[in-house]
Amino acid sequence: MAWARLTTKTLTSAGTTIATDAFTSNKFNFDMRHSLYTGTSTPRKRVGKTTVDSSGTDTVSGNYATRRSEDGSADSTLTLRNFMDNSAGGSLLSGQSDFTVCYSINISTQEKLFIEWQVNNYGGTGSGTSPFRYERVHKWVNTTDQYDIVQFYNASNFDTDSNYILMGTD
Amino acid sequence: MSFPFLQSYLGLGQGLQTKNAAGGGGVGGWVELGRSTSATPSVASLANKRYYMILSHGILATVYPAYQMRINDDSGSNYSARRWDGASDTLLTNQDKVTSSPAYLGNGSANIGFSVQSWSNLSNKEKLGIHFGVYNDSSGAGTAPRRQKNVEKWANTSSSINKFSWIPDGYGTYTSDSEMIVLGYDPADTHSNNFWTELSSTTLTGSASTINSGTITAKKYLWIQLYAKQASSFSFEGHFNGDTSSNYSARYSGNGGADTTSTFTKFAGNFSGGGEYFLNAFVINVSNKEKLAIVHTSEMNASGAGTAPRRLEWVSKWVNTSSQITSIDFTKEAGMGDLQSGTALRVWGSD
Repeated sequence: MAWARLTTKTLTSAGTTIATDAFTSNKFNFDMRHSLYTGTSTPRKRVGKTTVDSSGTDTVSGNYATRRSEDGSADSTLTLRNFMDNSAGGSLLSGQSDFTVCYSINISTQEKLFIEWQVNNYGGTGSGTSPFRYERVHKWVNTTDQYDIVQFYNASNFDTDSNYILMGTD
Repeated sequence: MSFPFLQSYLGLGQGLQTKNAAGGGGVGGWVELGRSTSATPSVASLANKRYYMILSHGILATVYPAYQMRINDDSGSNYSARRWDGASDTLLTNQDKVTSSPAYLGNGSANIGFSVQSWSNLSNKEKLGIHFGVYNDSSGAGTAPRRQKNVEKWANTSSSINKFSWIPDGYGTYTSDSEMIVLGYDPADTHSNNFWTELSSTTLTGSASTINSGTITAKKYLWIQLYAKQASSFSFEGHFNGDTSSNYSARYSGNGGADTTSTFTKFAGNFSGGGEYFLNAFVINVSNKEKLAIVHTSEMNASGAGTAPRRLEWVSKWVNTSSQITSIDFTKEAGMGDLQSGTALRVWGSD
């Protein structure tokens, strides 16, 4: 089956979330997100069936786990969270942006696994500052549903023209 | 293969922003915008797309070629990068080219390098790139391939990308059959075609020792994804053309640890236990050159959100220089558990 676009979302005004409508789930997925920021930002990702899974809290009882490395540093892990970490080591600031590429497997009866990389200009804009890089793997431990909705949320605003696009195939 | 001239019409550009186009509507995946097969690959007149994917391979003509990428012919000091090439990050600022290459190919006469890049492209924002590269270092399974993983930016905030060029950096050169292919994707796209054609789709309906693509059409570029579930005693290995001999060599890192190298009987495998794995790989598949693969995995580790997943970064080569890859299998290693029902292998390719 050929790759096809499952959904895309471009913000037409600034807001604290980038959320898709429900889309037709596929097993194999590839997504890209190019987010622009208006203020101090620590973006996070959630998925779900019809509604995003936000059970638990920021620190306990959630259904997501992450392994991550920033700029080649030793891996750190986050467990039992109610989000998949998508942030920089610190907070992205107004005028900065990030670009994220993610591959994922989405089978209803299995934990969902994600492979993700990100580049951002957290250190500052201009060629005098090197970009930062992030390597992450995530899982969403739901084993009854395929996810059919994706949400990014943020303490501050994603700026107008921030975009998310998801391709999939069975 | 798609038709570059057509994409300009189908892409519509970024001026028309879709608010929320759910459900697919038959819009395809990556489309080819242009290609260059040359000793100095360069693709110009690119349609304006929000995202680009660049597949490049360089073949050594004279020793120590070290090409760098330039965007829109901008030779000012407008680039910076964070380059990892084996040990730690190197920070590069105020560069006149972005510091990535299909490979720093070294001095082996049979050397080849391969890279996969992704770029964001919005005219009023810095352009951000993610780069993974592999090169065979020298031929034979006794020498492990080397790898790069870089992030890059072009600090221009007034123009969209319309050209990518590989620029020789004063050392050796590539052969004229080196290549760069630029794919594009935009939220406003309405195309129904794909650069990547499905070559194989296999899903196990019961337990088995192996999952096999069957015979696939030979393509120069391959994209492989595997979901594997193993019953117990977890370890599996991937092969090309059924070759289970020690004709592979790999460099790999588990959970971000230091690289390890080894001669292997596989082009890919898993890092650790847990029984469920998701693998993504890109492969350059030129008949008379060693085949190079860039592989990443996300592995369940143990079920539940109380245990973080594990990850594996892997580059490998298959030292066959007489055939293209025409089949791919993943097989349990001796004494390990069978692959379970639901294990799924997909292969896409393009020339």
